[in-house]
Amino acid sequence: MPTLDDVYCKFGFASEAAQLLETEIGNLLFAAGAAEQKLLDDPNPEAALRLINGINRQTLGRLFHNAKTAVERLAEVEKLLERAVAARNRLSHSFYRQHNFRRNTEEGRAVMLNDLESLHDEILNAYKAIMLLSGIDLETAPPDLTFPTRRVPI
Amino acid sequence: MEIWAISSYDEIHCDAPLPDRKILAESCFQTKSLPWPGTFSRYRITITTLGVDLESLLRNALRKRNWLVHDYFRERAEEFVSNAGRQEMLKEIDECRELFQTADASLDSIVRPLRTSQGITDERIEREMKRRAQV
Repeated sequence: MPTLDDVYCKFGFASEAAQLLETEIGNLLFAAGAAEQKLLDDPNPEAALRLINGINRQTLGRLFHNAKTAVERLAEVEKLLERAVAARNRLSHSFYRQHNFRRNTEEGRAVMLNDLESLHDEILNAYKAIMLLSGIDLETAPPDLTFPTRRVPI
Repeated sequence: MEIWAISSYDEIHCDAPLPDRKILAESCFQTKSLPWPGTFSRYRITITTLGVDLESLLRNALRKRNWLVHDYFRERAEEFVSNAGRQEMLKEIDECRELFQTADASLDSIVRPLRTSQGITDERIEREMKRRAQV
């Protein structure tokens, strides 16, 4: 039966997926903005910084709203993204309040875990769809994939 | 707030704005005109503000919460792939938890007397939670 640590652990998985999604939508917006301002052909660090700072200040919902306008291909995954934004908002703002004392029993924690599984799936499905738009199919990643270990300045 | 005892009357002079705005600052009250027993000790006017320390604590907690929700995994991507990095991350998360718990407890110390003065006591909350649990 699930422990409270299992719930917190799963919450972390779902939160990570939400941040990956948020980052990827930001990347799409940045790419669209950079292309529009021709920053790739004519680099302008100040303009690029303004663009990235503007994106970083946006909530996931606002990012999605703006990305829909800037990136036409997002229309293909709009429904998935809407569900993911709703799932992420419930996860961040009200998950523990809604479940409240369920955390104190094994049965309650099982309900919480199932809910987290669903939220995680909603977010991951949108993330995979967005990555696919960028040409990356996460479902068919090579089995010998190795993770980077050197620091990348981000 | 300043309080003077003048002659046989107790007067209360309030030079801070009162939150309900019904009573103007600098209003004076003669406590003997208040209902029996009418002694000064029966009445207490308190002014509650968040205070610089709590405001700063809440701002820090908000900043940290937003960082955790929006940026944490992206900024810690490098640490996430090594044992030593994950240990650092766990330590960092523990520090966040302590900050949030401290902010919550400090805020509760302000909210509790306010809600209690309005009749929302711990016992009443407990009763309501039990009632809802049975629905």
